[in-house]
Amino acid sequence: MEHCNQKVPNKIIISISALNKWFGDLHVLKDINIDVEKSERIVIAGPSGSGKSTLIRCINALEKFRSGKIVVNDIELTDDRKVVEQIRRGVGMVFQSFNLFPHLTILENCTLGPIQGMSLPKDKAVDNAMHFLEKVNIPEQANKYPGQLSGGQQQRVAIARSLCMNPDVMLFDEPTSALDPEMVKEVLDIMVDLAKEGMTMICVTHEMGFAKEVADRIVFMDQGQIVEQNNPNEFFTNPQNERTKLFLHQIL
Amino acid sequence: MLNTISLTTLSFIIGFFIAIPFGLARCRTGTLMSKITYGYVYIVRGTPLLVQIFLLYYGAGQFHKELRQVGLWWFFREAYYCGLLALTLNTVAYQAEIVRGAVEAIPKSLEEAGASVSLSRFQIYRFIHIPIATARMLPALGNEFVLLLKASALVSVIAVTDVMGQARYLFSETLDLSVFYIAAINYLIIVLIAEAILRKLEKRNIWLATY
Amino acid sequence: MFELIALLAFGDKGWGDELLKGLGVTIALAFATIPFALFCSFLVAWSKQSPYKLLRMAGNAYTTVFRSLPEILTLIIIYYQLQAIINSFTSTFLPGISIGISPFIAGMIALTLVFSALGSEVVRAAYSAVGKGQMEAAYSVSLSRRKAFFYVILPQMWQHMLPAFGNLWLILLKDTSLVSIIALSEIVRYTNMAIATTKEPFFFYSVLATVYVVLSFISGRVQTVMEKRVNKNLVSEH
Repeated sequence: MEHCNQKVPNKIIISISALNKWFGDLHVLKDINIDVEKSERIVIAGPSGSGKSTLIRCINALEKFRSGKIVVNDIELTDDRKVVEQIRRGVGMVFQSFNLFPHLTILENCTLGPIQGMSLPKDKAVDNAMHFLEKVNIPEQANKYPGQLSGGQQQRVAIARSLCMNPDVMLFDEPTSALDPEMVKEVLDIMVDLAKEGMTMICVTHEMGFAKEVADRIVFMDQGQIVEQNNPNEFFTNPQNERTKLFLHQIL
Repeated sequence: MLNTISLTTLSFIIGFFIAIPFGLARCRTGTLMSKITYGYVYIVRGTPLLVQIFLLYYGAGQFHKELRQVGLWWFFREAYYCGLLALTLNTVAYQAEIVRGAVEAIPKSLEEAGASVSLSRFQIYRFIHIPIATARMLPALGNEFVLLLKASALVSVIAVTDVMGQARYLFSETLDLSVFYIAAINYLIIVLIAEAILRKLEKRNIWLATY
Repeated sequence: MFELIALLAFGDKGWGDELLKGLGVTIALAFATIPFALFCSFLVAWSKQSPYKLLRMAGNAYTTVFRSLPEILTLIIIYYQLQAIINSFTSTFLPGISIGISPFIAGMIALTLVFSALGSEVVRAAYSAVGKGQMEAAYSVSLSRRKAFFYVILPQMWQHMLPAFGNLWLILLKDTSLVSIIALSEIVRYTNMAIATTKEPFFFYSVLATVYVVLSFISGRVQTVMEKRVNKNLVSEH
C-alpha cells in the first residue's frame, strides 16, 4: 500500500482549532489543533484517559466543548440542533460496544437513519442498506436480530449502518477492543477495504498492525494533548518525544 | 396519632416474626408448606386491604355468638384489634416474599466458601446467611413499613381514631377541609422521618452494593 | 348453604346483578384511569430529568407527596377540595346552579396522582436501563432527539417497564375499592348494600375477595402474555 508522498493540496474536511474541554475541573482536552484532509486515514493512539475518544466524540457533537472551534465540511459546529443534525449526517461513527438497536432487524438498523434522518423513501433505503450489507459480507443476515449475531458480525453491521448514511468521514472509537481475538480480523479487513476506497477515516485503536498498514498519519495523544504526529514509518522507527517513546515501549 | 404509630409498628413487628417461617417455607419449592404459603400470599396480595378489614371486622361480628363461646369475642369486638389483625395478616404476606427473596438470593458459592474454611452448618447460617439476608431485606422491609403506615389509615373506616380517623371525625363536625391537610402533613412528617432512619441504617450496609 | 348461593342470583331476589354492575364500574374506573396514569408517569419522569432545576424540584416534590400520603387521604382531599372549588366558582359566576363532581372523576384523578408518583420512578429506571449507548447510536445516524426517543429508546423501555407497571396495575385495581368510601357505586359499595339488607357480611365479603383474586389472576396472565411478546426479539442467543 503506497503512502502518497507528494502533498497534493486536498480539501480539508475537518478542522479543529484551539479545542479545550473540561469534565468539571478536569481538563481533558488541552488546546487541540488538527486538520484532516479528504481521504486521509488517521489513527489516534495513546494511553487510557488521554482523551482520544473524547476528541472524536466532539466531532459529531456527542461531547460538548467549552472553547475552540470545530468545522466539519465547511459547517461550523455550534449548539444549534439543525446544525448538529446536518453535521451528523456527514459523519459516521462506529462504537466500541457496537450499539446496534436490539429491537430492530439488521436491515431495519440500517434503514432507520436514512428513512428518518435523511427522508429517504423506504425502497431506496432498503436497496441502499442491502448494498452496504453486501459490502461488509453479511447480506444473508438482514432479517435477523442483533442478539442472534456474533460480536464480529454485529460490528460489521454497525459499520454498514454508518455507511448507509453516505458519510464523508468515518469515526471509529476502538472498534475491535470489545471483540474476541478471532473476530478482530474480519472487522479490520472491512476497515482496510474502506481505507483503500478512499474514505476519510479517524480511528482510535490499539491495533498498531492496522495503523502501519493503512494510516497516513498517526496522532499520539497523552493527557489531553497531541504530543506527536507523523506518518507510520517515521512514527514507529523514529519517535521524537519522550512520552511517545515510553508508550511505544509499552505496547510493542 | 398514637394509634397510627402503635398499629403500624405492632403489626410490622408481629408480622415480621410470623413472616420468617412463612418465607422460609416458601423457599423449599414443591413441598406442601410452600404451596399453602403461596396460596396465602396470593390471596392476601390479590385482595384490597379495605375488603380484608371489612371481612375481619364485620365478618367476626356476624359470628359473635360463636366467638363468645370460644372466649375470643373480646378481641374481635374491638375495632382496634381487628384492624391490628388485618394489618398484621396483610404485612405477613408481603414480608414473607421479602424474606424469601433475600434468602434465595444468597449465592451457593458462599455456602461452599464457608464449608471450605470448615465452618459447621450452624455456623454457616449464623455468620453468612443471616447477616447477608438481613442486610438485603432492609430496604424492602423499610419500604414495607412505609406502606404499612399508609395502609393504617384505612382502619379509620371501622372507626379507629388514628390520624385519619380523627381527621374524618373533625371534618364531619366542622366541614373544614384544613383538617385533612393537617392530617396530610402529619403523614408526610412520619413517612419522611421513617425514611431518613431507614437511609441511615442502609448506609451501614454499603458493602451490599458491590454484590 | 344453598340459601347463601341463592343470594347471588340475578334479578329481584338476588344480588348477583348488582354485584356485576358494581364490578363493571370497578373495571371501568381502572381502565379509564390507566391511560392518564401512564401519561402522567412519563410526564413526571420527564420533568425529573429536565435541565431546569425548578421542574426537577417540582417532579420530586410531587413524587414525595403522593408516595407518602395514604391513598384514601388523597382521594378524600381531591373529592372535597374539588367540590369546594367548583362550588365557589359556581357561586360567583353561575349563582343558583350547583354542579356536583362525580366520585368517578374524583377517583380517576386521585388514582392517577398516586399511580404516576410511583410510575414516574418506573419510567426513570427503564430509561436508564436502556443506556446512553443507544441514544448515541441514534444520534450518530442523525436522528433528532424526538425521533431517537420514539424509535429507539421507547421500544426498548417497555421490556423494563412491563413487570413494574403490571404491579402498579394490580395496586390500581385494589385501590378502586377506596372510591366506595366517597360513594361511588362500585363493587365494594354494592357489597355493603347487600350486607345491609341480608346481614351476611362474611359470605358477601368472601365473595368480594374471590372476585378480586380472580381479577388479579386474569391480570397476571395477561401480563405474562405481554411480557412474552415484548421480550421475543430482545433475548440474545449469545
